[in-house]
Amino acid sequence: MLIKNNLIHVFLFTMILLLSVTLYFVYTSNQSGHGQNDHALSRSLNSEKHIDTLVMELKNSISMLMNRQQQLQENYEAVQHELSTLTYNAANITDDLSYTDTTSRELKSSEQIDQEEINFTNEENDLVQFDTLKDNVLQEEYDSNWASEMDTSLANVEQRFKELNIDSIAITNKDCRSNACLVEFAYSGNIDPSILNSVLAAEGTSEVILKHVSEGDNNSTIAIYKR
Amino acid sequence: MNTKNIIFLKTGALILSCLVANMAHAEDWAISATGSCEAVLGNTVSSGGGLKANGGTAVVRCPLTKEVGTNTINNVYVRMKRISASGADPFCNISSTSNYGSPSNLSYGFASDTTSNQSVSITLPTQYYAGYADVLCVLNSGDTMYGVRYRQDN
Repeated sequence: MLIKNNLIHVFLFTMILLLSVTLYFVYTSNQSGHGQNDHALSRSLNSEKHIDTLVMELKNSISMLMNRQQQLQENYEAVQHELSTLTYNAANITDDLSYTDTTSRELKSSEQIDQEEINFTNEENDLVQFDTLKDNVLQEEYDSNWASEMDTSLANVEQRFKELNIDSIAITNKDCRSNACLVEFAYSGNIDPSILNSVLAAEGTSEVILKHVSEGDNNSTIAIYKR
Repeated sequence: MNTKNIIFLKTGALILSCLVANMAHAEDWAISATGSCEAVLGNTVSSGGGLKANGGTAVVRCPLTKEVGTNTINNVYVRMKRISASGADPFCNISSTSNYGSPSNLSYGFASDTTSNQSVSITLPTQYYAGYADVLCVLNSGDTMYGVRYRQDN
């Protein structure tokens, strides 16, 4: 009986020991499992942080890229605007060039017009000079003696017309003053003025200044004979 | 007086003589009527080295081939012979016309000597209107024109 009790005690002790060892191992293994989990958790957390960091970096990068894209977009728009401005300016310059070209042609035309005006002015001057001379003659006193002499000379001029078969010309007005004589010749038809000029010389004078006036088929020449 | 002074004076005299010679330079030229002139009205015939008005009054033009401006011609003479004292005096003129056709200017000289060869001096115009001026002569029938002489002082 004692032996049996001892055996039971030994058995119980052994069981308790085994249980303790088992519990110990279980505990140890549990402890060990907890460390691994913590480590994994830590690693996971670290990974998560790392991922978060990466995500943040990625977000930052994306943000930077977006900013960069925004800048590029703005730059593109600025370049586009600049390009359109340049195109506009180029178009304006082209227009200006064409305008300048046109203007230069117009200027040339203006120069021609100016030249024509100058010519006209010169012509006008010549005619004004003639009219002034004529007005001056009309302010002189009437000279009956010279008028009589000029009658003879002008009769010779008319005779010359007949001799040269220039019959369509006639003296229509005559006004002799102290230093010059105003005579108006009227004629019709086509008479060369240079030839007409050549036959207008009157004795008793040395020079005659002539102005031709043409109105349709009727022509006249005003002559200022200088004494 | 040393040799250098003599050379200097001789050089000065030479330069002075050249200057005086140039200042006194004048152009004097003539054209013959038969070679250069033509009738623009009436008829002419060659006669005795000149142009003679034939069968009536004739107007003869002698183109002035030298540019005319103020004071560029000092004298113009026309050598001619008048055969008759009757009728109006023949005359020659210088005519210049504005570039615009009007006004124009005519200055002239009459052949007052009746039947002798003579040189008609044409009065120079008080104003030339433009470039070239011709000499024209109005000859009575039988009058002869021989040529035109121009004298120009420079």
